Amino acid sequence: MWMLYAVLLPLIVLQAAWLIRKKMFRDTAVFAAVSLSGFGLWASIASGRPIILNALIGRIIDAAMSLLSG
Amino acid sequence: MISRAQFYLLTVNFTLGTTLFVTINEIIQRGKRDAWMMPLWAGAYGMLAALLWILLLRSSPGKSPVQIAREAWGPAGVIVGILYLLWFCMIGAWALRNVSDFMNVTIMPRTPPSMFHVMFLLVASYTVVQGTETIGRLNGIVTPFLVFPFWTILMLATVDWDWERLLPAFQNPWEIFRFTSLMGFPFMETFALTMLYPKVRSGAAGALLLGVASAALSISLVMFMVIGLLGPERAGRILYPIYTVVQEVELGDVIVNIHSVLIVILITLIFIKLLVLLYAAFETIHQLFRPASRWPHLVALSILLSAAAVVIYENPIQNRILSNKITIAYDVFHTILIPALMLLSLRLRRALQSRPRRR
Repeated sequence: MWMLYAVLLPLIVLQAAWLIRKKMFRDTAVFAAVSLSGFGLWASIASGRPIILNALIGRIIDAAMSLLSG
Repeated sequence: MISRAQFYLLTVNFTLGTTLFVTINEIIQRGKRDAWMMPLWAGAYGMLAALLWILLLRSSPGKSPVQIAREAWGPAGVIVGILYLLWFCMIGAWALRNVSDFMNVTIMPRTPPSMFHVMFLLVASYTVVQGTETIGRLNGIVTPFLVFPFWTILMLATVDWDWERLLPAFQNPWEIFRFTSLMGFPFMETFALTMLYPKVRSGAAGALLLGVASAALSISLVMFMVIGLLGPERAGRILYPIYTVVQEVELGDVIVNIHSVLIVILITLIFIKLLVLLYAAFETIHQLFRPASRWPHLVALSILLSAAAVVIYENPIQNRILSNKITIAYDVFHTILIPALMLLSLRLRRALQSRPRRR
C-alpha cells in the first residue's frame, strides 16, 4: 500500500499542482477525475479487494436486462 | 490527416490485434472443422455495422461520434462521450491484459504484468502526442514487417499439413449464432476507428469496409491453417494454437526459435490496437472538455489503464466464461444502439428544422 502512495500520489498531486499553477483549471478537473479513478482502482488492488471490471459490467448488464424484461 | 491506405492498414491491424491469439482456440472448440467459416460471418456482420457508422459519420461530415452526440443531444451528449471514453478504456485494458497474460505464459513468466502495461502505455502515449500522422505512418512502416514474416512462418509450418483434419466440411456452418461474442470482439470494436475517420483525407468509408473484410479473411485463413496443421481437437485444447504451430518449425539446425519472431509480430499488433484505443480515449477527452494541455491527460489515462488492465478480469478462464455473456450486449449498446439513436435524432431534428413554419 505504501508503494502506491509513494509512487502514484506524488505523480498526481505534483501534476495537478502544476496545472493549477498554470491556471489551467479545466485541465486540472479532467486530470483529477481520470487519474483519481485510476488511483481508486490501484487502491482496490493494493488493499487486496480488487474491483473486477468484467464482473461489474456483467452485473450492470444483468440489472439492465431484468429492468427491461419487467 | 492520414491517407486512405494508412486508414485501411490501421483497420486491418486493429482488428487482428489480440484476436489472433485470444479467441482462436475457443472458435475452434465451438466450430470444430468449420471454425474457419465463423470469422467470415462475423466479418460480414462487422461490415453491416460499419455501414451504420458510415451513415452516421456522413450525416455530419468532419465530426467524430463524440462530437455528433453533442450535436444530436446537446449537453446530454457529454454523457454519451463519457460512456465512449470508458468503453475505449475498457477495451484498451483488455488488450493490455491479454498481452501480459501471453508474455507471462510464453517467454517472460517472472516479469510482473504491470511492467508490460506501463511500458506499452508509455510508448503509446508518446506516439499519441505526436498526432494522427505519426500513428498512420508508424503503422504503415511496420505492416510489411508483420505481414511477410507472419505468413512465411505459417507457410514453413505446412510440412505437417493434413487435409483429413478439415474433413468432413460444412457440417456446422451456422455455429456463429451460438457464439455471438465473436461479432463483438473484434469486429464491433473497430468502432474505435471512427474517432480517426474524420482525419482521413478521402475514401475512409471504403477503407474501413475493406479493412474489416480483409481482417475477417485473414483470421479465417489463419484458422484454416491451424486446423489443417493441428486438427480441431488439439487446436481447441491449446491456449495459443498459432504459437504452438510455429514452435514446431525449424529451419535446418541453425534457426530453431522462429516463434520469437511470431511473438514480436503479435506484440506489435497489440501495440497498434492499444495505440488506436488510447488515441480514441484521448481524442474523446479532447473533444469533450477541450483541455489546453496534452501530456497530463495521457498520464492520467495511463494511470487508469494500467490499473484497469490488472482488474479487468480475474483470470483467462473467468474472462472466457464472462466474455461470452457480456461482450455482445456491451458492444451492441455502444456500437449499434447509441449510433442508431444518434442517427435517428439527427434525421428527426433536420426534418423538423426543414419544415416550413406556419404563421
